Amino acid sequence: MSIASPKTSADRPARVLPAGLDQIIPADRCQQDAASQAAFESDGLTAFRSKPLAVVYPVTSEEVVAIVRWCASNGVPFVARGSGTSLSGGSVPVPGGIVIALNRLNQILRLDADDRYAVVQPGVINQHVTDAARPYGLHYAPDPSSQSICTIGGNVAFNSGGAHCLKYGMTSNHVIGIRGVLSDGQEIQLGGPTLETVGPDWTGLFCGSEGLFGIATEITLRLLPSAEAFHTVLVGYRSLEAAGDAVSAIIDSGLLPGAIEIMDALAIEAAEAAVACNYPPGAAAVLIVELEGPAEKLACEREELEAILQRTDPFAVHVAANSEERLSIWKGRKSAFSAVGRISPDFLVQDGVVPRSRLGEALKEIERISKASGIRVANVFHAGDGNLHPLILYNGSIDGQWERAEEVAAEILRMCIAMGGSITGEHGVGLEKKAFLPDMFDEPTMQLMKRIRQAMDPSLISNPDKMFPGDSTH
Amino acid sequence: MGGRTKPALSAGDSFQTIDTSGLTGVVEYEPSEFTFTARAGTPIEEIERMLGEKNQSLPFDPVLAKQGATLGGTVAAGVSGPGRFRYGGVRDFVLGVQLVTGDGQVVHGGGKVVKNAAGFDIPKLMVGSLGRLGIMTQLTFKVFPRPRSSTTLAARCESHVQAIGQIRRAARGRWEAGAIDYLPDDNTLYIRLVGPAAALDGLAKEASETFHAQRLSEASADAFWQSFLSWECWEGSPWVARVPLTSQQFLDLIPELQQLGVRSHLSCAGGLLWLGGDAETLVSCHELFARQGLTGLLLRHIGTDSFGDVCVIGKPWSHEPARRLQKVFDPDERFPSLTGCVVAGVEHIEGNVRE
Repeated sequence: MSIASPKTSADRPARVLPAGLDQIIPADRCQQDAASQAAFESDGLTAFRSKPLAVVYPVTSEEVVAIVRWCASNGVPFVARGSGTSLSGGSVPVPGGIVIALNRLNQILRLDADDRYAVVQPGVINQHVTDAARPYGLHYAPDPSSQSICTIGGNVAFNSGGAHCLKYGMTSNHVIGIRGVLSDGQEIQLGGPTLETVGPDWTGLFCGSEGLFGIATEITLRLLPSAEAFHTVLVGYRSLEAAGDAVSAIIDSGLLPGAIEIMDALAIEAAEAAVACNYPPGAAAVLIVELEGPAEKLACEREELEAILQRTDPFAVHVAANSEERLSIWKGRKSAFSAVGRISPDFLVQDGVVPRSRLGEALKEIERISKASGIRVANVFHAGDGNLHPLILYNGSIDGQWERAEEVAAEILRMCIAMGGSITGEHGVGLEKKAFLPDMFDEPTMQLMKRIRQAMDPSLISNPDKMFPGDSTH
Repeated sequence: MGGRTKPALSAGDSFQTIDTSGLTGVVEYEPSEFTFTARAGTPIEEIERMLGEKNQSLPFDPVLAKQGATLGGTVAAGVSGPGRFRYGGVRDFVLGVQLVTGDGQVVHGGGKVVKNAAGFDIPKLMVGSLGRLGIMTQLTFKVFPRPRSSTTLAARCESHVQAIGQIRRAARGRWEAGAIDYLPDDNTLYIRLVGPAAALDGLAKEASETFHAQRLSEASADAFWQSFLSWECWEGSPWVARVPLTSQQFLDLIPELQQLGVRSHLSCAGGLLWLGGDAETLVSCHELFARQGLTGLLLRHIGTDSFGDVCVIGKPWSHEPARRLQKVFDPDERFPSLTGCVVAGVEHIEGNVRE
């Protein structure tokens, strides 16, 4: 079995757009020209491409509902899209379908500092929520590396994560209400402004449904108080294994850092080339640990952390002295994905999860796979929660390299499943990993999930072809 | 049915009872992974003891542990304690579930690792599902290190309005409060601070000054939180319910509730009201919630027959997407229905009351 071939989507014949869409949306917000089609043909995972019949730009929730109802009446599949940063091909257009671009639904409708929640439209940029909440001493916790461009709608669809998941959880842990429309035009209101609800957690089910149910038009987010202070440490190690052992030592101590991240030598090389982040020269791996909280608490915990780190045989320990230094440490880490573009023409990012205690074993196995295939793999990962991000480097213009890269990715995914982990920690299944979902879930569970999808999207027009293997609606 | 600690959630006599209290035992516990897996009938108390030995805990403060509440029942009821405010609720700590659907299929949702975005989040859907979507047989949870120490401050407030102001301030403050609860009947605000003991002294001193609060002795603090977690505080109340609301909705509601003689406990920094009262006050509360657009969950009712199998009071919940998904999980309608636990309609109750 291999990763879904990048050619699959293009094989389908394009259809002609049925009449009537211009009754709902003015011509200047319904683009069918070749340039628009090309601009939306792929997302953050550029290996997959498929041109939509049209790209529509609704500006109100009512327009979204009307467009979805038009799609339902005419059997036109659609994919809702924000900034298109999906790394699993989740927002690649559906052949014969339209793209509903939600970027213009970008208003923060309400920010309630008293009860600490925000109601936002799906096109709001992740970082903008925290920017708006900061004056009230609040922030929005989920922080994907793409947070300066990715949208909340996309975060909800793919249950995005970030560097702070061990302590704060993922997007779904911070979404408390959703208003939206199912693919058959039924409007829904799930949850609301309160942390607790009565009845099944429909909001939790909607998060991470990868756009297969319909479109969220208003999302209620939980806001948390901003930490008073941070203690960010950058530690250099002579081996990747030593960095991994340090993670275990920190976890076993009972500390709960906001973030624990590791980058290996190749990832460091790329980050240095891209943003000159000044990580310790010659490091085989760097560890970033960040504690956060009231100053008094940090004063206790930083001593404890220092003692632990001293026992892990580091060759360089750098504590951020101020917020500029802290941001500089994070800049290297957050730029890692785009930075590998400096050292390789093409790359695939994997997102598997392994039990934390097997991280060392997993990294050795990745190294073995890489050597055997001749494909370089750079490693960046959320070490605190066992979420790997192997960056598989290849050159698409060299014959056979893509195939070898995808086989490396497939081997890594199979390893994650075999270790009792997951094929995706935060990027979603999307188009890319759908062939692997049945390896994680048994047949009755796959059938149940398909029935859930069918109940929410009876005509299978809402982002079809994603998540489930062999799923075809045309 | 597990420990039968929240009897109002069980369906009536027309259904065959499946007793899951024998389905016990920890399947896997890996402290360094921050996860454990146990059978659904395992008592919470047993889990807390196991976690405590490794200085870990379920940070949402499960209720009724000492009374025999089980893991499965806690998930099905979707009920969290005061720690919900800071760390998240049951929904935020359940990672995986094994369940039997209405057509007898055994399915496995979620996973066993702390981070997982593959497939639909069936474990979360089980939270608050009241046993009406499937019978949970095994659950995997995420756990956290137990705070090194904690201390509780208590402050008398001049009014509910002032109390809400203090709650809002505490919830946004720098202290990282672990829980913020308020007892409207004696106007007392309780703030729990957690962290290393050396840090708590300074934080508690400053917070005490800010909120004009007294630091409680360890014994008094334990007694207060335990009385809430064990429902001792509802002794003498034939019914107990919980209603999610905003802090403004609380202020709108509380005068009438106090007039009715209904007792209450505001948890989750103003976001969740627990209530209990005499049998005859339940219908009035239901009407009051319905008028305010609030939906509540009735967890216990004794001698309030008018509610029968109903456990959802106030504004009925929407039948979407319950209608669609009940068919998916239970095509042959073997479980009591999600829509059946809702009062038939506000009009219906109002009609009864007028009679």
